[in-house]
Formats: sequence, structure tokens, C-alpha cells
Amino acid sequence: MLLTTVIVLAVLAGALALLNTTRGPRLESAAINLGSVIDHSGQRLLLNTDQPISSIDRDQITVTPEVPVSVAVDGTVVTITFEEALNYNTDYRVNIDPVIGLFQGAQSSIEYDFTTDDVDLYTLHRDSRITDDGTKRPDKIRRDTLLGTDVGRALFTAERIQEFAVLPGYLAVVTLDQENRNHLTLFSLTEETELEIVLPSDTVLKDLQTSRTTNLIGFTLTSGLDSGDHDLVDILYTYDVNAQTAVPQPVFGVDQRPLSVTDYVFVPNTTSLVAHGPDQVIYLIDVTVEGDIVPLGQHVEMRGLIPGTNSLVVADPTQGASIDLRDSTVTPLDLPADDELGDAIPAKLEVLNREGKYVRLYYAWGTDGTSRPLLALTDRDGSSFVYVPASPDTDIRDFCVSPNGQYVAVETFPRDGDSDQYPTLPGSSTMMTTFVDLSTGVSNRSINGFQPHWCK
Amino acid sequence: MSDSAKDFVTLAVSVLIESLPFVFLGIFLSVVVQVWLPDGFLLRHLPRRGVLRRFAVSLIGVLVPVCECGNVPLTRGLIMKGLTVAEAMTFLLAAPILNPITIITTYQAFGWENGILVSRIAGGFLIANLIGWIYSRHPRQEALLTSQFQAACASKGEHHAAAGKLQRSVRLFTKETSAMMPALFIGCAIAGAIQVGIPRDVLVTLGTNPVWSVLALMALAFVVSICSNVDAFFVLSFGATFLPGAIVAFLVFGPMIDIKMLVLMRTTFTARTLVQITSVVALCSAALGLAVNYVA
Repeated sequence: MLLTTVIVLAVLAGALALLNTTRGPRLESAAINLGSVIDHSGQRLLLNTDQPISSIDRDQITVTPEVPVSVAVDGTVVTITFEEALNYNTDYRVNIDPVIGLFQGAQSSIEYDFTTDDVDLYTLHRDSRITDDGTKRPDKIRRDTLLGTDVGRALFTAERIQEFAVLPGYLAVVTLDQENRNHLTLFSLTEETELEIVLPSDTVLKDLQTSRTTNLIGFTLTSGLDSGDHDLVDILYTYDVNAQTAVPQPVFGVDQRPLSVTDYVFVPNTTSLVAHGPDQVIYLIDVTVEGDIVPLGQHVEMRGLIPGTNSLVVADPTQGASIDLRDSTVTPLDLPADDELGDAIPAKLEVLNREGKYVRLYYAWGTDGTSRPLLALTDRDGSSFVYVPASPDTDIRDFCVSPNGQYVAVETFPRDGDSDQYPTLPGSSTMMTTFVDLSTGVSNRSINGFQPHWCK
Repeated sequence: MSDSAKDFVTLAVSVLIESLPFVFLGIFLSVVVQVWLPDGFLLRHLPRRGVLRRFAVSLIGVLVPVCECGNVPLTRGLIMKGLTVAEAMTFLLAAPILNPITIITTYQAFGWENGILVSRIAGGFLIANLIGWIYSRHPRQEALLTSQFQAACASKGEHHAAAGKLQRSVRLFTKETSAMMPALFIGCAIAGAIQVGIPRDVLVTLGTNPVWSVLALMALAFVVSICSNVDAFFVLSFGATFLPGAIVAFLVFGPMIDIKMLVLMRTTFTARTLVQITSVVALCSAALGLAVNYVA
């Protein structure tokens, strides 16, 4: 009896061992940050298999919807790096076929599905209406989700809000008092507390921006007309929310004097910014390290960063270029021609990728002699309309592309609307922002308000 | 003292400290069963038919949640009290797994992940009852016991008349303790020595192979001799490296057979019997682990 049992068990164990040697690797766990993959390129998906696997070639991987990826294998871990930021609230499927076990050579395939996050969207809602008691209704900063997967709400209210920017855990808000003086307030999104940052007296604050991922904010200050001191002209200041001070610091140029700028932009995921001076020289400056300033050359125009990258687009009369801010490498960038748009007058432009694909605002002349705004997308294959206002009386105030390059936010206003008379960044009585999917041209959502935080 | 010697002392003492409370609890329960439980009480309340009786015996661990080393003296007490050797073996092998502490700690460590908890409970129950069934067909079950323990069983009636229950309890406690302690010390020392001798890296290297991982963790379970009440947390650290079948094999094989257990069981069963039990339990655990690896 015992011998029979042992023989049966041995045969059973042997058969199972044989079956196991023919089974290929399986997916055991996966790790991905569904929030950061929609913000930055170079984010990773880690797939842990239950046994070590042989190296994997790029052509063994299929990602749907298609995204350029690179792959590396280390033992049981497959690292898939997404070369571009992924789309918001989108179902992705990653398939690897075949996957070959390192020890036994058995084959299998691995499939992993995930859905990226919807993205929070902050907008400014100005309200010019007067209440029954004669006071102005307050302006609001609202948080919604782009695709409406969550109920939005007002986060911050003040009588008059000029502009705002979003940091991790904070809103930086520029308000106006009765005398049109600026006040800069930090509003904690978690504790809902406020801290006013001390500004030099009688200065005008403009161009508030944040680095989004660090706790730095930037803005320019110009002396007010009444100050009598006209030394300050678009001087760039930064403020570190983590610093134990309520005083912002000026950014210094190579001459150790406060830097005056015509434009600037923070470099994502760093404490650096790129500033364009009045002399047209562009500087890369780490604002946390004294004296860390690198001139990047003289260029007529700074067109911002390519979404999801650290490549800065610059333009000169003869040629455009992209500058890789990691190593200051300059690469010529020839934008495709937009011949199909005829005599439309070109205006603001944003480059979408290193191949020169771009979205641009145009004003086209109608048969009645009036101009109508439109947004067009141009690449090597030609141009296509992205957004044309439905009404001929609607104008486009501004537009900007989402950090992942998927959407364009278009701010519109009625041409016959009343101005709200704010001294800086004036708006209209009815500002709207429409979000258009650049790949399909479909308007996914329109909301009241403007200045979506992407544009900061 | 060299590093290896320090490691040896640390590992051996840690196994000893972990086991000691359960051994004393087992001896205490053994004394309760032998002295204080009325004669025939246990036998009267168990099903009469062999298979059902062993099923019931294998669930006694739910009432006496001690780890495997504590079950050896209790098993001796149950045999003294009239259970057959096959039934007592069923209890001995099932109780370390089918008890509430082990089930709860396994659940805390793994939850319902990969069927590890279910496989452990079902595997422990089936293997213990398979062993019980095999030995229930043995024509002379007392031949499975050591001659010393056979003699102890034969002389149990002599003490009844001579002393009161309390005195008998003390004497029995002392006797069981003196029988168990040397075996426990030796078992812990061997477990510590082998852990120092076998590099853990070797075991981990094998962990991701569907076949070798099962054998590697069974070998580890045999060597580390960790109590069933805490072994789930121990093996949890291997969870990221080893396949779920290997974890199941560890959690089923370890509580039934390990170095310390074999030395303790040698106080009761013959060497031939232990070789047979070890073979069957090892084959069953391996088959279970391989099946889980194939399916999971």
C-alpha cells in the first residue's frame, strides 16, 4: 500500500514537473504611475514576470493606442519606457509576444491593460455681475476634470482675480484691490489656508508661472506709474513655497544684476527656468543655485517647450531650432509650410514634436471683409483645421497645448462682449474655454472661464 | 567568536525561543489529556468509522492551537489515551496547519492571493488524512512506535493507583519535558548549523524556476524549522522572488516535516516510520506546489 502510494505520488509529481517545464513566463505584477504618464515623456511601466526571461526586442511589443516605447529586461522585470506622454483617461493595452523563459526556453505572451488618469483642470471664472446690495460678485478659481469624470468645485474666491498658477498642493493667486494694486497669495489646497507674499510697493505683477512639479513660482515686476521709481521693468522674481520666508527673490543675470525678461518658462521637473532677455539672449538659470546661469545664444523669439520634453523651440528670421536643455544641443527645426491656408494671417504658434508638427492661430479674411480666427494643425502631410468658432462674432483670445500634446485649450470671447476692465490680462464678460482633441479635431468639452493652468 | 559561529548561535537560539512556549503548552495539554480527561471521553466523542474519525481528529488542532513541536507531546498523550497510531499521526500532521492561529497569520500574510491559503488548508488536511489512511491499514500499528514509547504506553496504568492526579500531572510533565528538551535542543542546533552552511543566495537563485522553486522552498522549510504559527510571515519575504506553488509547498511541508520535528518525532516513532512519512509528505507537498505553479 505504502509503496503503491509513493509510486503514484512520484509519477504525479514527475508529470506536474514536466508540465511546468513547458509553461512559459507569466505576468505576476505590474507597476505604473497613471498620473505621471500623462504629464511627462520617459515614464515607465514595470512588468514583473514569475520567472527570468530572455531579452525582448522592440518589435515584440505592441502598445494600443500606439506609443513609441523602448524596452529593457533585467531578470524577471521588463521595463517599458514610453517615449511620449500618454493620453488622458485612455485605455491602453501592452502586449509582449513572445516572452521566452530564460531557464527552460518555454514561450508565452504577456498582456497588461491600464487606464490613464483623467486630468485636473483649473480655470479662472471672472464675474462682472453686481449683486442686489451693489457689490461685485467674486471671481472664482475652479477645479474640474477635463473629461468630466469628477464633479468640479470652486477652490478660491476673491473680489478680483488677475491670474493664478497651480503648484503641487497650492494655488498662487494674483488679486487686485480697489486701487488696482496687486497682491500675491498662496492658497493651500489641503489646509485651505492663505499666505500673502510680500511684494515691493507699487509694482505691477505679470506673467505668473510655476514649475508645476517643484514648489517654485515665477513672475515679473514692473514699477507702477505712481511709484516715481522706474528701475523695475519686467524684472524676473521667483519664490520657493518651501522656503521659510514670505519675500520673493529676484533672478540675477550674468552681470549679477536683477534680470529683466521679455519671456520666460520653467523647465519641467527641474528648478531651472529659461529666460529671454531684452537683448534677445536666452539664459538657462537654476534659480536655487547662485550663479548657475548658462547663455543659450541670441534668438529673436522663444516659442516654448515641446510638450512632454525639455526641448526649447526658438525662432530666428532665417531658421528655427530646438535646444535640448539637458545638454544645450541646438538642432535646426524647419517647420512644414502651411501653404494650404492661403492668405490667412499667421499668429501665435506652438510646436508639438521634434518633427516640427505645430498648431497655429490664423486670421482668415471673409468675403465680407471681416477676419475670422481659426486654429490649424500642420505637419509634413499638410494642414487641417483644428478649431473654427461656430459664430462669426466669436474671437480667439489665446490657446495652449496640454502638457501631453493631446489637447489644445482654446479661449474664446464674443467680439461684442464688454471688457471687464482689469488693468492686466483683461477679459470679456463671457469667456469660454474649449478643449479640442488634436488627433481627431473633436471638441470634447467647453467650460466657462479662461486661463486654463496648462497655459502657465 | 567568528561571524559564522555568531550566526549559528543566533539562528539556533531563535528557533529554540520560538518553539519553547509551544512545546511547554503541548506538554501541558498532553498532561491534561492523559491525566484529567476521563478515560474513554475522547474515544466516545469521536466518530466510530475510520475515515470520519480521522477527519475529526485532523480538526482537533482548531481546539488546541499549538505549533508542530508542541503537538508531539500532545500526540503521545493521545496515543496513551487510546487513539490508534494512525489517528494520532493524522492529528500530528494536520494540527499545525488546521488551527486558527496558523490560518489567521497565513491570511494576514497572503490574503486570498494565488490560492495560497486555500491550498495550504486543503493540502494539510488531505496529506494528513492520506498518511492516516495508509497507516490505518498497517496490521501492527504499535510496531511504528519506538520501543521506549511502547514501554511507556504499557506502563501507564501502573501510575493510576499509586498517586493522585496532581502528583501524576507533575511527574508526567517532568517526564515529557525531559524527553522533549534534548530533542528540541539538538533539532534547533542542527537547524541553525544548516542555515549557516547553506547560502541563502543559492535558494533564492532557484526561486523563479517553476520546478526548482518548489524543491528549494521545501528544502528551506526543512532546514529553518520555523513554527507553523509564524512561518507565513517568514516566507512572505520570499513572495516577490518565489512562485506561489513554492510558497504553498513551504507552508504545507514545513509544519509537517522539518529537522526539529523529525528529532522530536524520533522520541515516539521508529526511524523507518519517519522515513516513510517524510517520503509521502514530501511527494504530496511537491505535487501540490507544482500543481499550484502550473495553474496559478
